[in-house]
Amino acid sequence: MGISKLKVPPFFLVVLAVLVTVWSLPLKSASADSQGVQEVLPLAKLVAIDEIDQEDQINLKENQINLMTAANSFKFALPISKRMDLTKLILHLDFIHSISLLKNRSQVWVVVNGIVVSQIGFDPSNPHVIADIPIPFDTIREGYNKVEFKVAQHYSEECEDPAAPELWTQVNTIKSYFYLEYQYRQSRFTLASLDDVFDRKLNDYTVTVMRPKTVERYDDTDLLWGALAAQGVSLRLEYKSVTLKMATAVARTISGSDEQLTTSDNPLLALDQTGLQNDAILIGTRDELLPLVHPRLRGAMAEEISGPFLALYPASDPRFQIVVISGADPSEVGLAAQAFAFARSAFPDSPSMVVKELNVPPIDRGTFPMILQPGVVYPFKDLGFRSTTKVSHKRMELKFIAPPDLLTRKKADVTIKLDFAYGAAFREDSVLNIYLNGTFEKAIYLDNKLGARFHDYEFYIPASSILPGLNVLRFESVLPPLVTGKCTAVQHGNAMITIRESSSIELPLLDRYVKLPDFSRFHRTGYPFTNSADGAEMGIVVRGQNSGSILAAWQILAKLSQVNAMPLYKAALSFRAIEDRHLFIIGDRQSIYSDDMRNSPVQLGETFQFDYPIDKRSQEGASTIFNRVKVFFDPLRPDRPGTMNSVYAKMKFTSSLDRDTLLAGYQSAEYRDRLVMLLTSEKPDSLLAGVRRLVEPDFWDVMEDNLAIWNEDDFSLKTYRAEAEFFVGKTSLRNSLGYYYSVHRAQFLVIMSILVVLLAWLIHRLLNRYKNNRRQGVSEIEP
Amino acid sequence: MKPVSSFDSGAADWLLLLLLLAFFFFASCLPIDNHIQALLSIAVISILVLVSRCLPKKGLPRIFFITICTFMVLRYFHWRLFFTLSFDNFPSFVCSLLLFGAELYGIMTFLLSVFVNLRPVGRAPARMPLDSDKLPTVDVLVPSYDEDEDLLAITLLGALSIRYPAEKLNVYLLDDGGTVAKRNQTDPIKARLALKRHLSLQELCLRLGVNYLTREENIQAKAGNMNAALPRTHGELILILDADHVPTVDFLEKTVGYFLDDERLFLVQTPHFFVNPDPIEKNLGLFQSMPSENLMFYGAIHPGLDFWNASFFCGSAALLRRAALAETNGFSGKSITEDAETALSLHARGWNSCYLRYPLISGLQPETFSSFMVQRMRWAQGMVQLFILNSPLRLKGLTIPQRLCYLSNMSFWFFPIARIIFALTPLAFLLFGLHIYNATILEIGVYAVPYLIVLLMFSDYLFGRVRWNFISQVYEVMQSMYSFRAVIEVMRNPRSPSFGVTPKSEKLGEDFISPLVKPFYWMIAATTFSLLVGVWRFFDVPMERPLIAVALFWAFFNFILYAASLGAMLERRQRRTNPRLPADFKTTIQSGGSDDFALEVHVKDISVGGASIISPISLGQNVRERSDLFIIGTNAVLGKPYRLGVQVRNSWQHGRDHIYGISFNRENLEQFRDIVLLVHCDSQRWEKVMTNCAPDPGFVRGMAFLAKSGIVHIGKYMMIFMAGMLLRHVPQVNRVPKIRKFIKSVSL
Repeated sequence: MGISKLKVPPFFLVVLAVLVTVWSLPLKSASADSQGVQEVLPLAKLVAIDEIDQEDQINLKENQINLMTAANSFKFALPISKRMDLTKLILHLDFIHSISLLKNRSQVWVVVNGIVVSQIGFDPSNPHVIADIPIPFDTIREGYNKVEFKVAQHYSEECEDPAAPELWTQVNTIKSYFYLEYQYRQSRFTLASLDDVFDRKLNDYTVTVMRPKTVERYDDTDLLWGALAAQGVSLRLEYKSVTLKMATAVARTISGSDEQLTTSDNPLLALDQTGLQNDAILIGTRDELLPLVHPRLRGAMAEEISGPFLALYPASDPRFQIVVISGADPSEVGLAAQAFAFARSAFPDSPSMVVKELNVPPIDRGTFPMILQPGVVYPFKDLGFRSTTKVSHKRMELKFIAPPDLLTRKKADVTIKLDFAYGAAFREDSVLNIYLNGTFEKAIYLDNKLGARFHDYEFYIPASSILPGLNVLRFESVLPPLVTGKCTAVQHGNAMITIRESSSIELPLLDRYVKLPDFSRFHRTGYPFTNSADGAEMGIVVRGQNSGSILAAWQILAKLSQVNAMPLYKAALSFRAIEDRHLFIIGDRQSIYSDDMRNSPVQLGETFQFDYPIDKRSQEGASTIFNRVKVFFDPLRPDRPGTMNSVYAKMKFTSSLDRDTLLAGYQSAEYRDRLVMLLTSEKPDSLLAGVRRLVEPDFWDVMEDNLAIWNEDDFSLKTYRAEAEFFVGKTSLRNSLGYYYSVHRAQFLVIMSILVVLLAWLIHRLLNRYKNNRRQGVSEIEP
Repeated sequence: MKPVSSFDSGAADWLLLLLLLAFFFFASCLPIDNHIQALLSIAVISILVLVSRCLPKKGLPRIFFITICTFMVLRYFHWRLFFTLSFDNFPSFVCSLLLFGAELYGIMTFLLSVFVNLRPVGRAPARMPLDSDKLPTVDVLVPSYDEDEDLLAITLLGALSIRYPAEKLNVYLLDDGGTVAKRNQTDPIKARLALKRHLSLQELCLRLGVNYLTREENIQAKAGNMNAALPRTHGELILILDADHVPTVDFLEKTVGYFLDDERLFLVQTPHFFVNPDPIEKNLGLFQSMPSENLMFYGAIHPGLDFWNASFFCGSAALLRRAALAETNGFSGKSITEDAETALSLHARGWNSCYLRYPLISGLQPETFSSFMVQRMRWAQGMVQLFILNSPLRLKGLTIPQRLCYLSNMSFWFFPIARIIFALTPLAFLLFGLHIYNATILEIGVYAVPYLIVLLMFSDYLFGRVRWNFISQVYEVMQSMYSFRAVIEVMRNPRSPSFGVTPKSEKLGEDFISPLVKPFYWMIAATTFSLLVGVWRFFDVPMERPLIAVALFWAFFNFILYAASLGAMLERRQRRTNPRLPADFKTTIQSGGSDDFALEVHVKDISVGGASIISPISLGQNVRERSDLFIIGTNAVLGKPYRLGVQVRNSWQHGRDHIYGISFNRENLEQFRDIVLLVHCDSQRWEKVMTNCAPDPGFVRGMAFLAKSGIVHIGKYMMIFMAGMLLRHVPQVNRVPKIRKFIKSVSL
């Protein structure tokens, strides 16, 4: 499994965050009917593809692609799902170019999968170009299609400066878009092609979880099955969100026309599929499902569900698919659901299967996914990096996952030993810059004009720069050509650099000890819920027997499984209390027990007790010596000078959360090393809407502190810090106390003073006793 | 006094102590943020300043002060151990381990020093019983090897003048220069000289009434000499005096009583008080303006040892019990420091010792740096030898405090190794870029700098009145250059060192540069080069500027020490065999001629050879030609009149005072005895001189003094070399070839 599949890199997440914002803009709405789907796909949603060398060309904030210099290009990928049957594909291009360009020598051309599909000449008198470019279907293939904008820009017929500032073209990524018309392909999918069904190349994927009973009759088993199904889907979608729905599977009367449609590949015609506008997952025991099967096929189906059973059948609407998870008894259904969640590419090329056995080896958090262990040397090769040669100003990246709970406060360095070589005959101010998570950390001076090779070039990066979860170590070479200037052929071919996969990285030995709650750590790694990779330390208590709360729980678990990169199949879900686990308590406000909120910074009873942030302001400078001393002894004081602090209105009131959703983290009242996260809203519907909004990247990826409030219509997530912190993890008493006293200076000084005075007094006392007993006749002197 | 085996204290106190020490140690290793470490450092230094300025330096405040210092030192140690050692590359790693080892050694000696100096004690001189019959018999042993007859005569006269019942006091000269083996050695000239010495000293002893003893062979050096005398003498107590250690008349009055009070007492040690400067004091011109180098040991450390019943025999100026020595078959001779070895053995057998912090002898220090190094290397080698062959950690019978005290005394002498590492470390960083000290400038600021400040304050608090810190650095640097190899050799072969006798009463006719100066030339050249490279790197490698600045400061500090050491190696001439000492008493100068006069004058300084007197009126134009002058008066200590013939040698006027330099005429033995008594009998005078020194000038003035001294002396050296180049003659020393040979054998 490549790292890129596990989690989304920070830069990528930012891009996605912007894109989701963009997505919600009412440019043109995608619509679907029984005939087909019309969809508008702005370029802004596509340029987030991980092309690190193009970062300088993208202006994410302003949604522009900048094409500078005499010759330049920009690449991105257009995803086309296997399920799409395209009927129309148009690239609507909106760009502005420089008015200094020569008309007959400057142009842009569009290349799709290596084939030029269009070229547009630049006209200085008409610099704003809007063009609709039909994309021939024969250039398109299923999967990711490489689309490239290439420009030739010249301002002179004579020799010119290829990097002249007037050589530019700017493509608007919001106003430029692909217009797609397609129908869902009525293909015959099998279990082997589940990845094509739950295809991340589809946008806004929705799936309905169906149980043959009403939500009021749901029990903990139903919660667990639904959760496993939801995780199975979300893991296949990798980083894309899934919208979960639920429905009661009921039988319908079979008509004569249905008789003709019924085949062994389509046995669910007895299932009422009215209103099903998306794929579905039907879960139930054999006895529960048989009434939903055409009477003629029930016998055969009963025989087929002889064990944990998985199947993929087309829905009545042939555009959609129904996954069936079943078994002879509930335990077999559970096993089938686990298999669905786990085995993402090992299914047979048939519509159904019976799972005979599923052996999941014990999964150590330290070894899966590929989390770097402190004190172990990892060759880059083991982290997916391959020896790479880059020319000129290029970038290379190593992605690695750091443990989520490293205490990086103390002095410690990440050791990197680099095997690399660089070319000759470039300018003497060449360097190899090294960034960690976008922050510059180190430069290696490439000062040998004759070129050089290094083995085990060792350098260090402070461990405090390491983020929990995914980290990106970037190598960016700056190798300016030696000879430049007008009318001079600039040589770039010599400015090469190779970083070898034999290079290595080693995290220092650090304690596993962190402060909770910490939403930032949570959104990056799922910690502490994913502390056990299988979810054995996680529980979700669903308060309220309603679809909103249940779906909210599944949505959260689906998202966490993506963060965890594997299903949290041992996570406990219940409508009742769960003991000794990190808990999510999810439900509408009326359903939340007062006991659930013990230790919570927010109290939601008949009256609300809540500190509403109403403003932010910078603290004034400490005016008195006393204030200065106070701040000196307690540097984390919220009222320290110069700090931008929220101004809270302490309110106690009777009201409701209305459409707001609240997420609060706090220490469990029963288990001191367990975290509780309360997720609630006024009504189940608003709760579900809030959770669906929360799992979108633009909200999920900016979570921090330990209290969040948002509304499904909000453009940003509001987070706050409440005084509800505690520490978890394994560390020595020494380090934990060091950590504690670094924050509580006054306590440290007082305790040390008492200790020293007490020790001095005791030694003095013992010396006096010794003198009286053993050395009479002497008296102490001052030498 | 009971033998001390352990603390007597309640179990609860012990438990609490262990608990608090555990907390203390634990708290010292808490890894807190740099900011709070900075805060802690500021708080600690402020408290230390207050305590040292406002509270007495004894009792609870002293313990409090020491505890705080220990806390900061332990914090530094833990920080160094946990956060600054890293494997960068092999050479850097090796060097960083060496530096850490040297620092670890420093911290260990600090902790041992803390223990030793927790409670320095003094004691009143012992009372003598009124009934002289109860007094024990005392033998005074004066071992000699090659000392001048005049020097021995002064010591023997001093010994004979000790106030003690004559029938109970016997003085012995133990001559190892006139043994049978020496008189019959194959070299006829040396044999003739030995025979001459033998006969001459026999005659001297006969005249003085001293017993002359010699032996067959020179086995086991000084220890063997004394052991050979033990069966031939019978005193219950034995007073050991070096050949140049002249006792005051009250030596036994002040010490014998201790033996009557404690029947398990084997030793009363008294300070070694020196009437002349050591070569470093002399060459830097600091004699009597700063405390003598050994005052720290005799003035501060030994009182600390005494508290723990760990005062040990220092080879001379000590009274020992024969019965105790009988248990060890005399003085131990396994090492070349027989004194400490003997004390160690007797302490291990449960005998007690005590220390009287009162100077009761006056002695001579080596005149030249070469002689000084002979003495110091013998001490260093002997103590290291003892540490290896007779480690206090292994020896049965010692109490824990005694083990720690001996460990402190012995481990100190490993300092040359640490010193050399400290000297080379900044060079390794500046010249070769080795990463030896893995720390940021901020960390250095909050851990290393406060640590150094606390160490300086600790040293000033404990030893400020008995040692100038920065001069102490010069002493250690100078010794380390030569002792380093000597210590290493002993570590490799502990039984190899031989006893080197410290030359006494050398006379230097002219100024010269010590032949031992060469290593300092190299170190100054290397340090200067590293400073230049460091300055270049400072501008060339901006990223490392903070650390380079620290290394530059360190190297510059070393440079100053080396430069000051150069000054100490510029040997100044020393024409007087008998050094003059400050005096403060009145006498009468009288003429025996026709113009009889008797005039009361003030004696400013005095030696066995003569004195300086201050007269309010002139003694006349031709006073230098007169041979009929006497000084008369009463020896205030003895209550005995004296009349000594004198000759005026020079005179000058200072303000309204007329100052005359006079020499004593030694007309007979009795007069010589009077002179010796006048000069050496008064212990109160020694006490006054010993303690009447300026306190440590502090960091800034100390550094300024060193810098000034260093610059001045480098200037002098350059002038000497330039003159040498011009005259085609570089100053050379050709004195004391024996010393040079010895030095060569062990030095760099």
